[in-house]
Amino acid sequence: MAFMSSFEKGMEKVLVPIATKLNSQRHIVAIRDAFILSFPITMAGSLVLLLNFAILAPDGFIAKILFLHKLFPSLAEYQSVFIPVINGSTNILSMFIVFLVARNIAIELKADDLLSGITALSTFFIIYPPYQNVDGASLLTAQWLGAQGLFVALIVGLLVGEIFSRLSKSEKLQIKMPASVPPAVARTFKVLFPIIIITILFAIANAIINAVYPAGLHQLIYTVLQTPLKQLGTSSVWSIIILAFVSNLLWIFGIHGPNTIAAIREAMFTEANLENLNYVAANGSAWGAPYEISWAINDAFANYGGSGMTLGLLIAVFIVSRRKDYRDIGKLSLAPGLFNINEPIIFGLPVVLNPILIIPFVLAPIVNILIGWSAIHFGLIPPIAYSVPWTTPGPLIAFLGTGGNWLALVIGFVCLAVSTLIYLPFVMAANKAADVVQK
Amino acid sequence: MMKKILLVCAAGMSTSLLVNKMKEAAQNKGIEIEIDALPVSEASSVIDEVHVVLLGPQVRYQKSQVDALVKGRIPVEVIDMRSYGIMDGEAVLNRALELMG
Repeated sequence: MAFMSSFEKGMEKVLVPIATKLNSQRHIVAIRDAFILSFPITMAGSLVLLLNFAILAPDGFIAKILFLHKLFPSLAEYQSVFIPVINGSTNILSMFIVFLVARNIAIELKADDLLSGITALSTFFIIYPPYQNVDGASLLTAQWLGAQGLFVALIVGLLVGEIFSRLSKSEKLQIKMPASVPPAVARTFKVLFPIIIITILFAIANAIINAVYPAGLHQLIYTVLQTPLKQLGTSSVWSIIILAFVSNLLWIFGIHGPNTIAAIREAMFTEANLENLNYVAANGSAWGAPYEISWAINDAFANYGGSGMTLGLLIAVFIVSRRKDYRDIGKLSLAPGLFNINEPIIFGLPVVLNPILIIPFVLAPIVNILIGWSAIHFGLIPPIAYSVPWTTPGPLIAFLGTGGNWLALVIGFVCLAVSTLIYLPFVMAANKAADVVQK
Repeated sequence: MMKKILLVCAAGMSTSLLVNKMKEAAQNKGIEIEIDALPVSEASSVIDEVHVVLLGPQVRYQKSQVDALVKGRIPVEVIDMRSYGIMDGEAVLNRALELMG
């Protein structure tokens, strides 16, 4: 135990400052919170699509169960009614993100957050590819409004947020209004010069970049930054395994892992997730979705009960543990655990710094990621193409994420059984160790 | 004036479980007190109205951030891991009352 406590102190010294940095560095926090805030919109779009195909398409899983197409033969025609929902959610995600990042930065720097966000949105379109005249109509490409414009949105949001917040604090740039002027009017004049400076700066930068690189700023950033990072995330299952490993490792020291890696995770996988969703919107099926590897694999197969696949741990406790403290914590943790919230079991059992339980806590998710990925890779089930809220009970994420594939549901339960088997011997060992310590 | 306790965690989800347990404990003791759970990103909006801030152990690395917000005006403490894990509302409530004096 002496080894464990010195090991603990050492890790605490190394890990806590790193986690503190990652979670308090204002640019990382701004990006993370922007994704968190835009999450309900993308999730709503995804769920509407899922229900649309599940109920209205002839081969949708709800339609099949209820024989809807025998009852209402013309049902499939109404699918097109709900497709536009995605035009208002994931297809314009970059517009939400650019606004939210700049707003978050301004909140942190105590500047006018709404005007900072609006200025960033304005700037996003200043550097956007110009209008094209086609048959007398003035058209703007939709290409960079959604997933592909994400990095430009992040960069513009960060830059504008920073510049705006700093400039708007400078006394010299503020137009002072007499006290009789209403505050709402004075507020707009206060930030007029900073906004003019920012728009001029970006207009000039845009002109220079277009002169050097005619395909434009969006294409440049997409090619140089976004595509390599996306490929790093989606070209091999190792990226998922490594990220899951780091995230679960942080939990072992009692640090919220998923939150700590959220910014990098979203930057890597959001485009792939959205492209998969767009594929589903266009084709009505998850089969053939372009990205077989994305973070969705972790949620669909390796996050039941929460980080560390602790639903398997709970079941193992109920099967073999005779210790009252284990069973009590198990009962307390079951309800939140079904919805993948597991702080009670992590801190209560505890898993944190428990030299025996930390092994399956890291191991089980990795094994499950491999099982889920293999099933997709060898064509047993389609990729996880629909976004499903992470608080959805375990195997249902695999089922709904594939658009209602029954085999995916079965594989989900296989993953749960495998994780239980992995946890079993360690729970027995932890119980014995606890008994020995008590005696 | 009614005392207010703010609990802070990553998404405000697991602390909201603890909040319910603490409210139960407060009721049993016959104390009137307001207890809320928020993610740290939203804590800044209410921090001027509360009398003590408790952090979930999983976000203990954010204590410096909260400290900077409250500037020593009110006590800020990380909840004991064990009490947090077994959702011991009474113990956490007692500690909060102790901190508020």
